[in-house]
Amino acid sequence: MVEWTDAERKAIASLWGKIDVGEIGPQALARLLIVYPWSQRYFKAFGDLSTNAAIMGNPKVAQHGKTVMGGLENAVKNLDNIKQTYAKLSVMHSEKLHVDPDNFRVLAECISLCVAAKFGPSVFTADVQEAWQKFLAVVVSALRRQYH
Amino acid sequence: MSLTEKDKAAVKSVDAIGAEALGRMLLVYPQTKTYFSHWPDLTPGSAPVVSHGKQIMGGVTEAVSKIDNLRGGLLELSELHAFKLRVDPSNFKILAQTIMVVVAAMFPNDFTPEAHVAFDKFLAAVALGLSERYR
Repeated sequence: MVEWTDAERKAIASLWGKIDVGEIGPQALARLLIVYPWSQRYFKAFGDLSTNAAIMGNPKVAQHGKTVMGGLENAVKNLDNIKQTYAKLSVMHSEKLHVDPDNFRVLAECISLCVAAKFGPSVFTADVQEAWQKFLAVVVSALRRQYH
Repeated sequence: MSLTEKDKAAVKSVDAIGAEALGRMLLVYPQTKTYFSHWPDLTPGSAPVVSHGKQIMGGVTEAVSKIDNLRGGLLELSELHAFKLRVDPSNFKILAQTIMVVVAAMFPNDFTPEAHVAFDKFLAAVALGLSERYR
């Protein structure tokens, strides 16, 4: 079971309260597709991903970024039970979507970078970064859990 | 030739990035602390962290100057890490990630997607260059 200190719980809740999923989600997903272009293999139905500008302006990317980021809400609300909370999503990503789970880690890194850029070092302090990245690592692990 | 105020500010910010990145790495990835058990203070902002962060960014700056031949240019540093420091090469990726977080936090307007991919590629190439002499 994951142990969270009070400071970590507070940091995660506070940061989550400041995050606009409609802003950070699209940015993070766009960066995933730009910085790790092989990840585009999962989004053939999204239309034009041929240039950075196309990706950043693509409404399906934006919508899906918002959806994925919004999905973290469940984890924030269920910090002590993330593994179970994401069990079905994990099965879906493995058996229906066939997503290489390494993409979860890489998307988490993109999310952290967008959050860092948005809030700067005085809000995204070392302690907040520690709590936030630990939180994302637990989510990533839960999403990998049902892969066989 | 003397340093302008702008030059000094740029150098200071590189050092600051190094200190900040190293401090954050030790906190966010506690397994990395195992390499620094000989330091009295591993907290962000402590003297050994600040000084060593500066040293590391010196290495990154050197890598920038050797960007057209990282494998060859980093041989000496690779030998240092492989034979003397014996740092597991998976840690290069970890430090690269914290450097990027600090750069994104400090320079959000410059951290465009284009800069992001270029920097990510560069740090990955540096990590590869540092791994060259391991085996």
